[in-house]
Amino acid sequence: MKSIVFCGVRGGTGTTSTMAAIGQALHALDEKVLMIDLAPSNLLNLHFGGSPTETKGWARALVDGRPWHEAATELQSGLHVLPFGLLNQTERLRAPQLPRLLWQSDAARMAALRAQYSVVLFDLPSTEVTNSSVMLRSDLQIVTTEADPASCALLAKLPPDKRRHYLITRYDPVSRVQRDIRLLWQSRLGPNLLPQVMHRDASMVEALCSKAPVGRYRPESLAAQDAQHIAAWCQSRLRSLE
Amino acid sequence: MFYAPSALAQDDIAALQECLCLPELPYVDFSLEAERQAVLDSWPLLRELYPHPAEDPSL
Repeated sequence: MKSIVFCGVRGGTGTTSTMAAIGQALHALDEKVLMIDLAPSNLLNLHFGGSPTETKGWARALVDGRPWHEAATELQSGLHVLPFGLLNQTERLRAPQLPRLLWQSDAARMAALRAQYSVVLFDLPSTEVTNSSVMLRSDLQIVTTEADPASCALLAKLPPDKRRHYLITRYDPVSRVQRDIRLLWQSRLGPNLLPQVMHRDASMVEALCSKAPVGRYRPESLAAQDAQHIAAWCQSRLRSLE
Repeated sequence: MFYAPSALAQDDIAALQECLCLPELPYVDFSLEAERQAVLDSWPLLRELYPHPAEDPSL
């Protein structure tokens, strides 16, 4: 089992939508995929038909002292999503410590996960981009970033890490400044900048409104094709680690 | 630090180095360098965030 963690350089870069699209695309490439939402905003579930009022999730289960694996939903054979769940304001204060409890809670269940899935994807909140143990333990780290000035400023402050890869989201090739920023990042980040971008595409927004990943909502869309290419890149990188 | 423009370009350069028996043949992409400089000249914030190595006090 290999792991990929997705994290935005800041909030609002489309990390969850992008991960949902890539998870579904990896499944289409015959990977057995588990997607785990580590963000208290609990949005990943919505991309796969979940309800915004559904409280079920691994964090909710841990807080309630129930088995967390029961919160997973099978979307298709070999494609599962494990939501974060809904916590109240007081419970959310514990949220940064919960992933560690998840890893330590049930060693036998974790071993079963490793046997059952070929790839596990983690959706990590942007606040954890530099200090999360999930980032450090993952086989592949993908930081999503828009080609905009705010992301430029934040990205320039990140400590260098050769294992971190950067994916440009919501890329509009018509925008001069976005083309310019991409050129600079190609020079500065070299092979750590993914060659493929996620283009700005209304299909991504419509897909979430339809509660489906973009590859299922509109398979012929540009964003769905981007996700397929990035999934193939991820699969290739993970196989090179074996 | 700046990287070569792409893996494809590096392949071409590697082929040329092998063909000429000059493995140390230096390669500078002047066109890309000019394009990069034009970007930095256009956008003051980007120039501050990504100074040329010669102007970067941290290097």
